[in-house]
Amino acid sequence: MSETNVENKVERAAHNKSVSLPMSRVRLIMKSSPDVSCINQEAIFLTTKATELFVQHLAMSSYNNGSGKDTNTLSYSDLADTAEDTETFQFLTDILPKKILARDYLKSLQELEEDDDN
Amino acid sequence: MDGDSTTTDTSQLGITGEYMAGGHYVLQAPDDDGDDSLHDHEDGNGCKDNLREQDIYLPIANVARIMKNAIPQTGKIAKDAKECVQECVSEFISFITSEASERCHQEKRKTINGEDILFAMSTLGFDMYVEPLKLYLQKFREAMKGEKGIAVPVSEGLGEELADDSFSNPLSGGLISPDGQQQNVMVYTTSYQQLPGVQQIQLVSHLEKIYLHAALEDGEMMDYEQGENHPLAESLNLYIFLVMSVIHAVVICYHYNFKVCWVISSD
Repeated sequence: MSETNVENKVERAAHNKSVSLPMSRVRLIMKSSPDVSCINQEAIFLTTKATELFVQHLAMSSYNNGSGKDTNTLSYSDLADTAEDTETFQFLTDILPKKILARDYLKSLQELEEDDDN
Repeated sequence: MDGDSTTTDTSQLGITGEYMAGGHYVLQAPDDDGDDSLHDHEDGNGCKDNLREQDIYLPIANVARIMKNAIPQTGKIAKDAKECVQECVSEFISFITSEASERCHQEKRKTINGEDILFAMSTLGFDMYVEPLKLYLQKFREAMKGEKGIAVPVSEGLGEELADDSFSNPLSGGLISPDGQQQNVMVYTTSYQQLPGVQQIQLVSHLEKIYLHAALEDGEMMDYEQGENHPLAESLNLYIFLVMSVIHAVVICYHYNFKVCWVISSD
């Protein structure tokens, strides 16, 4: 059956390329950057693989550095801490702001205003 | 009360960066609801930077799976952490792409290739990825060579994949009846199921859209960007289109018992 042969070949090729993230979506994200016209297929593949490595890297660093070891859970604060501490992940500080409670924020706001008045 | 605090959070997020020196902070409701905070965080970003309104993310299931494989087996991942990494990933991709794109522009090239990506990685501090990526690239190139050897079946495969959608697609045919009026006839082509080429032809009028659709569904199969079609596949499709148009016309004539066909030819 030619159908199954073709499907098998494509599956094998995809498996050899071994990406677990959709390359089409990666291409969409890449194209959303300004001034980007054409992207080579190799470039998309490399970016996809790099993204996988990045996710592994980020997850592992955050888990090991944060409170994950104690609580056995990777939480948002682990990620935020890692972003600030690690130079490689500095570019994430804008989208990984640390969280504080509202009352703490209001307190520090008040203190700031008092400093301005003085 | 919680509802009020979340709305004020959103408006105050814009002020946060200006008032707090050094660190960036996001407000969190006292009951520590992670999901709500993340929502506010997203809204805050939408307000702050209009360019991110149409942020595209990779599927969270895939991202979560990779994360799970990276941490010890017994580890768990918080939901907001998964969503957060999803955003980080898009940020990472944009980061790399803009750097690679800049290099491309500097060298007066229009297409970003693998080398640009690798260069961008090492520039931005991800040089530990470069070596493994080169190995993966090698594997990829070998796999692509194998695929190119079966270029024709790949385009047939494209037709096969779309077969599920095409079964009930009616094909409209223009027909001139004996009284000289044109009738639009809907011809259902399900009887053509056996021939993969024909399945492809059913959608030939929307060929570009289909290639784009297939590209979006499975990027690995397409070698070319939108607007570019594989030359071999394109000429093959044109050939098939011409042949099948003729056959199609003949079949329609048979369907109407020759009458119309002969009426037209006699005029």
